Amino acid sequence: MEAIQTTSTADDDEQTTFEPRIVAFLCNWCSYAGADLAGTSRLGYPPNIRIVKLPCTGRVDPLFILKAFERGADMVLVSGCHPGDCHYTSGNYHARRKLPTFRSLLEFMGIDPRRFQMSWVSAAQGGKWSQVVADITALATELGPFEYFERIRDNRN
Amino acid sequence: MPTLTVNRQEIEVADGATVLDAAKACGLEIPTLCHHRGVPSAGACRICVVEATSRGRTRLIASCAYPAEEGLVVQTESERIKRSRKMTLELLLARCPESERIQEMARELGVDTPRFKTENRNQKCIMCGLCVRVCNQVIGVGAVCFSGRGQTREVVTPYKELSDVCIGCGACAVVCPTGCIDPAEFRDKLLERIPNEFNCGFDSRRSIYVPFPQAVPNKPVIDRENCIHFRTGGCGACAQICPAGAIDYEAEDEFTEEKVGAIVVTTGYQLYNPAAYEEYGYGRYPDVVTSLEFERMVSASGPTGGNVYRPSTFEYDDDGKIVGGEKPMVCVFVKCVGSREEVKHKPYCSNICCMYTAKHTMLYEHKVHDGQAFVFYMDVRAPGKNYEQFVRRVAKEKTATYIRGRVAKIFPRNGKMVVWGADTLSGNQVEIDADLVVLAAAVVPSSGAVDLAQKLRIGYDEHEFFNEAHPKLRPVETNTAGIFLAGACQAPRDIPETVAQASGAAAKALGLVVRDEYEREPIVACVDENTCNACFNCEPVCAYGAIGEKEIRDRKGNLVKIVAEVNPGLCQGCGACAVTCRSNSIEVEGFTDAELYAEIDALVP
Amino acid sequence: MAEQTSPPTAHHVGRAQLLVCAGTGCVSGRSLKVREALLEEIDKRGLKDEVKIVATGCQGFCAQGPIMIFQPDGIFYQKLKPEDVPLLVEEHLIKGRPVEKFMYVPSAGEPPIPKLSDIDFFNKQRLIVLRNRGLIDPEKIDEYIGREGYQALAKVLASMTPEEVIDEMTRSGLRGRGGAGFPTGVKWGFTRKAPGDDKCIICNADEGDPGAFMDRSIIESDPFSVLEGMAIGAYAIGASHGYVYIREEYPLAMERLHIAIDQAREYGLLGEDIFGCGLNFDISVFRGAGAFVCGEETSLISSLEGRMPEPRVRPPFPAQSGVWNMPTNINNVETWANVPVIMRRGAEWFSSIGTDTSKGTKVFSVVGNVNNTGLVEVPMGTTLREIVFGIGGGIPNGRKFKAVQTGGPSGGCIPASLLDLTIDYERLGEVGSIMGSGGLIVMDERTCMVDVARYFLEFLVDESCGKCTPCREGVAQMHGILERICAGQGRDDDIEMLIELAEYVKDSSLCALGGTAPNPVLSTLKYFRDEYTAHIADGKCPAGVCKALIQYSISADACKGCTKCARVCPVGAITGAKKQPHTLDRSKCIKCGACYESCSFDAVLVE
Repeated sequence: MEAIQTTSTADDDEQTTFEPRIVAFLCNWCSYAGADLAGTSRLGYPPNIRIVKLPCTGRVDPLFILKAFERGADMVLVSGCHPGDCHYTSGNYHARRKLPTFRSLLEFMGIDPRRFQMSWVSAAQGGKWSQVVADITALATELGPFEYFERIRDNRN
Repeated sequence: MPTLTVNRQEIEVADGATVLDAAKACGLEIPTLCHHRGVPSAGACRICVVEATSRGRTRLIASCAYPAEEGLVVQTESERIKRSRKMTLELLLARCPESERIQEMARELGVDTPRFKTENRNQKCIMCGLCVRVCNQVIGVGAVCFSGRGQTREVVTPYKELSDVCIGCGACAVVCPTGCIDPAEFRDKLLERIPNEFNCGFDSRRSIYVPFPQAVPNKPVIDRENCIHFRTGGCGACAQICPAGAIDYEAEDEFTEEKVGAIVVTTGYQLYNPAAYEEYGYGRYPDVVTSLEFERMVSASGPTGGNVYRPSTFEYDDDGKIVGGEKPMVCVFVKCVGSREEVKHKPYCSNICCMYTAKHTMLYEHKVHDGQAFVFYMDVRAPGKNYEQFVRRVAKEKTATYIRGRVAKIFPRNGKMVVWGADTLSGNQVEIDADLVVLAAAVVPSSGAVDLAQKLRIGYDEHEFFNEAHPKLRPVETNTAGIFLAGACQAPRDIPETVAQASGAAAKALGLVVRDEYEREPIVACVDENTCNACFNCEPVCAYGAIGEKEIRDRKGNLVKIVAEVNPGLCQGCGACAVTCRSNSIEVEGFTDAELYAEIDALVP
Repeated sequence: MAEQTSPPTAHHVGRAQLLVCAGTGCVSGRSLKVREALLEEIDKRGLKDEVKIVATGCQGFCAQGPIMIFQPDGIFYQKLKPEDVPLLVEEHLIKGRPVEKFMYVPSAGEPPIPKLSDIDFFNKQRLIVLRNRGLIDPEKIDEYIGREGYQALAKVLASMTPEEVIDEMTRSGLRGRGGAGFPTGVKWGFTRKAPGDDKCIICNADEGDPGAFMDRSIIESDPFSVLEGMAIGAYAIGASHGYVYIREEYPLAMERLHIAIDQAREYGLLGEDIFGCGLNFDISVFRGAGAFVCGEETSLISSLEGRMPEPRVRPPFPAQSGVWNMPTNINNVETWANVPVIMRRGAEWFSSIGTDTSKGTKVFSVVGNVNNTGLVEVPMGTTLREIVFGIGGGIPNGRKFKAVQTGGPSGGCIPASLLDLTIDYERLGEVGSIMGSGGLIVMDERTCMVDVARYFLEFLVDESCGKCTPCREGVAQMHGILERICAGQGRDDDIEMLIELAEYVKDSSLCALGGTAPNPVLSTLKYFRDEYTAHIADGKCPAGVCKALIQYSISADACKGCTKCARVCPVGAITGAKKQPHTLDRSKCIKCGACYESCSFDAVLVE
């Protein structure tokens, strides 16, 4: 319900016409299924999220995230199975170690690390999924448009 | 193979046989005292004397120790032999008038009262030395020996104190012909009884034993830790007795490697140790038992032969078998011991306890007709075909009194086990003086489940039960292809559920192995052999061991290079390897980098 | 005796050689002190370079020790004391006058016999085993070699095959001197033929018979002959190692044996490649704790292996499986000592000595009621009379000879009627005794034969290992019956029961100890049954030995009132004034017999 409210306030407010674009990399077995469940459960959540389905969060190459930012995403989310529940036994463990490292690299580059988020959502957690999307959308809205790459592009031009 | 003549009968015997063996082979009976099958003979007591003629000389010889020589002429019956045996027994009877065996043998030869008297006569020992020989030469321990000589000879332990080296095997008492060794004398030393694991340690087993009645194969095994042969190098009695010569001490456990197409994991469960409930006193009070221990007691092939006794009153025979005990007149069953206890124990319901407790109360009534059973329960869960009816029957027939509530404390008082509990329906505190308390402990996975899961690369939950691939859609499969689950290793299950699941797992496994070609998911990793530089960083990240080596050879067969190779049968397509590969030489079909970049491009225009 | 009188070969002979006996008997009589005194005296008189003093092994005439032989004169001196030395040296060595005072006197009143070769005890013996006794220093291998030592081993190694040695031994007719009399050559042959990579030989020096000391004497006086014999045996049998199983109670023998072994090793006569002929053989000494049963081969092996000495059933015989399952040949000290002589002088020479079935000589330790106790070596076939009266010099104090017991505790008693028996294995067996290791106990009329049987059985009860029932229980029962008889509580059927038990023990026992244990009973019953009957039926001990059956009294006629008996009586049972006949109070008398022994006028009577 909260998520729906958020969306409606966005519509109402003139100032908040900024709609963040969020790219989410979801594992096929948990988070994608969880998102599915949210849908089938008729739970609403902001439409700002654009999902890339992967077999496993272990398949997430940091370059994918950079690519998404480069293409203009305001925020990137990686979401997978809870630790210990990985369909592939250990894929999310790889992600859990690899991506936080990558996040500190983002900070080093001057990108606000909050623009990269991770979460664990299982196939049974439709509610949690909608909550996560709502929360990060709110955060992305608060952070404003991500113009890092645009500035670089402009400077070059 | 010497041939000799025994009472005018020619007989060929094996090398190393004695005259006694030869006589036995002829069907002749020769009395013996200091001889025991399996112990080297000494020819000391002289009861077994026979006449033997060789090289023209006829002498009395001890048949138990004299080798059956080629051409020996043996006579087992004669006046001279009879006279000698009679005198031997008369002298032994004078020394050991108390020994029933000697009395009996002497009577047979017509000696009632000896004409002689012996001072300092030892009640029963005839100094035959069997105990000394069995201890030194067979068991290989050397805890008893002779001291003194002649009349002052006696069998002793060094310094006549309990021997340090005695292992308490009791072989000396077994071989003693006159029964003058009482194992009670070295009770402190007696070998600890080997608890019979299958009977929950209620009775004991030997160090060579059939693990349980339905064991497959139904053959004995040797418990090396307790076997005297493995402890001292001696004994070997089983090898000597076995007519098939099947005992092989040299045989070693070995690892065998089998290539299989499917694995069904059925490692079952064990009971949660109720000792975790200190207030119940399990492990401290013998009369507090688990439901599995009760189950063994009521089994007709169990340690008590189906009788229910209070364990504190078990009566054992010399062999460590239970032969009697006191019947419990009041029996309290406590359910949910460990189950549904989120805070300290297990949060889940163990599924089977309600039903078997109902069964136990009924069996208890069958065994102890005028016994009284009480059941402490939280809920009665009987969701199965006819289950509810069964529980109702138990309640209706007053087989057991069901009390809804938990037990707070169990403690001994005046030989009884006092059970303090609550009856939440009436709101009263209950106190029962019980003879036996049976704890329906929670079902937990077998120890070692985690190790196995890691070995098989299958998932397990926080309670260490194995994870099925999908709780509804793929209940017998694991996330690892070709590995299936059945029974209580996955969750507490009763027998019908287990059989159903096992049938499903078997069918799934068969479906896998009967096919000529294996169908797999298309999403697997594949290696670009042109760019792979064989760093094999992909290998450790693969959870399935799907990465192998491949040799690339030219037409002449010369090795050009080695590259990584993905076994598509094992690969599950997770893509961990693709991320790890520094040269971008592994891609997951359907999730290639190019496809994903295109997707990202499309999503964020 | 030519062998006896020839002077020993030594590096330096000098003017005279004084051969002082250093055998156990003489040592306990302070012969070493005599030797020290001699050395001191000679040094004092500056004769050190001219006179040589040799400590020899046992010379055999132990009754007269300490003994010294003065060479080259061949004068035999006896019962020497250290304080006699100055006189002896002064008189004989300086003035050349042999001292009669220290010479042997056959019997009171007769003139002393100066020369050793004229003394019956010596000149009636024939020395083969004891050929070197008293002639060499047993601690000097050179002296043994000087007396043709190690010639036999050299001959054997240089010119004979092992088979020829065994054949020579077999033809010599030498039989085991340990007691059983099994032909030595045949025994060697068994061990040689037994399959096995390594073999072992043992010298049994565990002399267990009370009163027997020939093995000890041989080792003490001539240890090298045993070592040489064993080396020859090792060559013939194919053994690389030998043991001497010697009892702990023989410290002197053990010491000399060790010295001998060390010297032999030093000379290359033991160890590797003996005489350069490729024979490897060494000997170790094993000290036994002295159990009579160790005379039995399998018990000895058991003891040698570190276990309790207990016999085991044979076969397998030691020749097939002995020490640590090696084929093993066991011979007695005396047997081994015979070997070098036989090899050196040949089988024909040896077999010409002795009787048809028993060849060579036998060493006897003659003890008991005989004048010349000591060690004698006589040819087989010598009569008992010759040994007891010829060599032994008869019975002391003019008493009558009664019996002689041969073969140690499990031997038998031979009565006076059989004094002309020629001694060999078969004859002794026929009369119910055994050769044994050569103990020979002479008994006079004051010996009670029932008591003798009782005494020997007591020994055997004590020494029975206790393994088999007949020996452990049967002999003890027999001993009980004999005690009963000696205590005057004999029953009418005791003799029958003794015979029944004796036959049973003899027939059914595991080893020879039990097999021969009844011999003392059976042989005394055979020849002296009347004494048994006297004990049982009449309540009398004819020899006056068994205390319960005797009474002492003093003959008033014969008693001169010398008071000797009253003085020795420990309980004051004898009273009487000087020169008046004494009286004995029977209520006080404890029958110790002290008065009987002390009376010079035979006035103390025994009934």
